[in-house]
Amino acid sequence: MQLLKESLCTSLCGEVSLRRRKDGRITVSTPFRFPDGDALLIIAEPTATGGVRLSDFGHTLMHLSYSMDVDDIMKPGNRNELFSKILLDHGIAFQNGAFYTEVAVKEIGKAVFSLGQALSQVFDISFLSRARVSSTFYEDLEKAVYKLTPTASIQKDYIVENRSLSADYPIDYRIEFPGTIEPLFLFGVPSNEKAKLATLIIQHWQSEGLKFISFVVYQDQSKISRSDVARLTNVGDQSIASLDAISDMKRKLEHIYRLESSSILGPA
Amino acid sequence: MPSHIEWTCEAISIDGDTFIIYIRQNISLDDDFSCGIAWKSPDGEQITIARYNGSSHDHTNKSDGVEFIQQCHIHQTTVEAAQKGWSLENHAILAEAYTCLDEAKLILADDYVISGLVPKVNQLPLSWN
Repeated sequence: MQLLKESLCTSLCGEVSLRRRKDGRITVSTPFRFPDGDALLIIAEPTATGGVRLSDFGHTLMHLSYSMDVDDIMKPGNRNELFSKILLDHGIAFQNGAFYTEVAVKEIGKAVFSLGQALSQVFDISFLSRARVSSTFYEDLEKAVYKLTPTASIQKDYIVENRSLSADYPIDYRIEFPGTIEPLFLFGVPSNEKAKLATLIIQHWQSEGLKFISFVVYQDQSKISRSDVARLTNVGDQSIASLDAISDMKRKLEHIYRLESSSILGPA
Repeated sequence: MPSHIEWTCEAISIDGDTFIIYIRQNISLDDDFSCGIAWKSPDGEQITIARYNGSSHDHTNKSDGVEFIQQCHIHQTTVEAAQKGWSLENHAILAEAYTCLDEAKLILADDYVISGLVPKVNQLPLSWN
């Protein structure tokens, strides 16, 4: 046991070192690596109270920005919840894009591990990309809607006014383009259940005599049962099979509303 | 205030493929910069082809264990990384031709024949005085 402990301590110490940078700051070199082989950046600076501040100086978010829009992490949603939980779990502060922790000098070892673990976990948020995780579908849909229809009047979770029981038949997005008569009712459909619900809602408002054009955006149409897709296709007006087909959505909207794409619609 | 400045654009190749060109510079650390090129697949996935990093951080290759300690390095996507399931751009080579972002950009534009990335005013003629 003692021998193992000594070997472990020697081995761990061998993996961690301090190095003076060209600008005079001190880098804490650790074995922590991003998947691309780059080391996490941890810089140590003395604090006014005699302690030490360990900071990544914003390097981690910059690294993350190669593969995703880091602003998405700061918006309400699954990514932001995960981000906040990581900071809380490891007692790490975040300010102006940099992660840091301040500790007494004798606690630097534990702090290096905590910060290293937190930075690794923050980087793992990049794996929550649209292509990989279903739980970000609604966040990605919202981003796509606002990007594609910048000049339109958009009402999220729209409840039709002055109609009885309208709260039971909500619309994901009501989009009204300038100079058009019929609004677009847009539904995001990530599951069979939502496909059934969207079918029911569209049918309900059609039977109520409401004038609108319905548009369905599937998360992945191939994963929805054929019978649910068939029913929704029959009652709905237009659809795209996934958010990857957003350029097709733009083309269809131009066709429906005869829009001048350059002035009314944003980039696909 | 953000910790870095970023710039990203799409570029279309002669064959019609879409590529993402990106440039990053840490506001506090001069040597923490990066510029790179990624291929955008038809389903929207981005696949890094090469990334030119500054010397702010160390790097270790999985394939041969080569380490770069506070040295500029260029990440390159390799077949070996794809076959072994590693991050595609895990392999890097030493970069001695640049020390700052402006120089890295020139080399990226030259290596991948990217027009418009570097303003012509930056391309000073060589003089032999």
